[in-house]
Amino acid sequence: MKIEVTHPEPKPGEPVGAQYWRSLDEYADRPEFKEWMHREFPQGASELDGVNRRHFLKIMAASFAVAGVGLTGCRRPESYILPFSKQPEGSIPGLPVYFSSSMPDGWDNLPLVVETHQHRPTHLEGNPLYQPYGSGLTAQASASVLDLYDPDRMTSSYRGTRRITSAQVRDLLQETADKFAPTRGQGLRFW
Amino acid sequence: MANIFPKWSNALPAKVVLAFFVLAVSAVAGVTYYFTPAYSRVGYMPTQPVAFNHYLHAEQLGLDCRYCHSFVDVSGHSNVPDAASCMACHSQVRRESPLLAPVRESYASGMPIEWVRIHQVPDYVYFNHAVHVNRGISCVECHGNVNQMEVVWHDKPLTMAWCLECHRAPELAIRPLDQVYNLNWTPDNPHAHLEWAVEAVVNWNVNPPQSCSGCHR
Ligand code: HEC
Ligand code: HEC
Ligand code: HEC
Ligand code: HEC
Ligand code: HEC
Repeated sequence: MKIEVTHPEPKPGEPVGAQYWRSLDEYADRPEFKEWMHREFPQGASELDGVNRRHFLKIMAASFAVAGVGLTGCRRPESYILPFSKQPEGSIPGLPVYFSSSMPDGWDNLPLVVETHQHRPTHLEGNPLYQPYGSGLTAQASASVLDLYDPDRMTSSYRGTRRITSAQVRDLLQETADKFAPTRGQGLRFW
Repeated sequence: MANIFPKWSNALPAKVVLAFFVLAVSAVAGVTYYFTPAYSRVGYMPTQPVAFNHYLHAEQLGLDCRYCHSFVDVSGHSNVPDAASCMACHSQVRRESPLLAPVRESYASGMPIEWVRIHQVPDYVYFNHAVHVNRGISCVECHGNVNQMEVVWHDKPLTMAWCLECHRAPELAIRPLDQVYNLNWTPDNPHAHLEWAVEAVVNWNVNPPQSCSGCHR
């Protein structure tokens, strides 16, 4: 037995072929969507006034050729020297500056010498003045200088989960300083 | 049978070869002249944001190079002065000059003046000012007579061959340490000076590197 299926003839204006839709808006065929479509892809939007694509390519080819004549691409790029407005004392461009510091780890407080270039710490060494460690340093502490350049590092100060400004941080520190002033810092620990 | 080729065509191969030769020579000459640092760098004279005049300040006013390039004998890098060093004088002299507006602005705002860099060696070359200056190599050997320049230009090619030329014969460039910042200095008696220089190279143990790792570290 053979089943013959005959579709009804499409009415004039009705689209022929499979119908797909790309969004619910399009399916619903709302007027706002129609207008949006029209604004997004108005007829001929991709063509500049009076210049079609071929013409544009011709102009670009010609301008590249002219640019090549000057060989501008073979010249050194311009670079700049940006000196300080007011040179901070004790910093000499090109020479490292060393600071002594310390770093707490789970065991105790490691004495450090920090090498900085243009005020950026680049290297840590143990402080040789502290005899017991004899300028030694643990591998973790040595690598910790990289933490400063970690892109995931916090970029502003927080108290709990609330972001605070640096002025607020200074206030907080002042508060702490006042609080511990009578005992001259006894019982205070930073880590 | 008539000649297919006219008589003048006998000379054609020779002419073609000659034309090709002339073309090749001019191409090579053009490239060696126009594409090498002696042409592409020497004479580079960008417009600076402030029309700073070395002739006026260093020669006429007699300022030592180290008044402004203050760390040239301490550090590998020769610094360009901060706005505060200009303001040491220009808060008194020419305080209203429009030419100095960027300096005053930088001094007030803390933002740097954008001087256009003139001399630059590539990143893969290690260069150190202090080493040279403290061994009697004057600025003039590498920067030309900056004290006579109203606008600084690139005076020497700064190529590897040029560096090595001096490293192979430092006695031709070395001078007494107190004359390093006097760019106009010439020896009174060139012969006696050369004798002195040959000795100085030995006595000071001047030993410029000629091996690759000296400059390409
Ligand atoms: C009053 C301050 C001052 C004095 C003194 C001075 N300079 Fe300068 N120099 C500058 C400034 C500012 C610049 C940057 C602007 C420029 O290139 O003109 C500069 C730039 C230069 C440069 C070019 C740097 C580059 O961009 O590569 C050289 C070389 C130089 N100076 C050499 C000298 C020498 C040599 C002397 C001593 C004779 C000297 N300067 C004295 C202020 C000074
Ligand atoms: C030792 C003092 C001194 C220092 C330091 C100094 N200048 Fe000058 N400057 C002068 C004098 C003096 C004049 C000339 C004024 C005149 O021609 O009457 C001058 C003139 C100028 C002029 C020309 C101004 C005009 O209106 O014609 C400029 C630009 C200038 N200086 C820039 C600088 C810059 C930039 C620096 C810092 C790198 C600097 N000066 C550092 C003393 C100084
Ligand atoms: C042996 C050669 C040599 C001598 C001597 C020398 N320079 Fe230079 N100078 C250079 C080279 C090479 C550079 C480019 C350095 C770079 O790219 O790091 C330079 C760069 C500079 C700069 C620009 C620094 C910058 O920020 O880019 C200044 C300023 C300068 N020299 C000043 C001086 C002064 C002042 C003296 C004399 C006291 C001097 N130089 C002596 C070779 C020399
Ligand atoms: C006019 C002579 C002269 C020129 C030009 C010159 N140098 Fe030197 N250079 C010397 C002398 C002299 C020494 C030796 C210093 C010493 O023995 O202490 C030296 C030493 C050096 C050193 C060794 C530094 C160190 O720490 O041991 C380096 C690196 C160097 N030069 C790089 C260069 C480069 C790069 C250039 C080219 C841009 C250059 N030099 C151009 C004379 C020159
Ligand atoms: C006196 C210092 C010095 C020494 C020693 C030196 N070079 Fe160079 N080299 C330079 C400088 C300066 C440049 C940059 C040249 C330029 O920018 O035009 C350079 C550039 C180069 C380049 C890049 C190509 C070029 O010409 O720009 C190569 C490759 C090179 N050097 C190899 C070497 C080798 C191999 C040695 C050992 C035989 C050596 N260099 C020793 C200073 C030196």
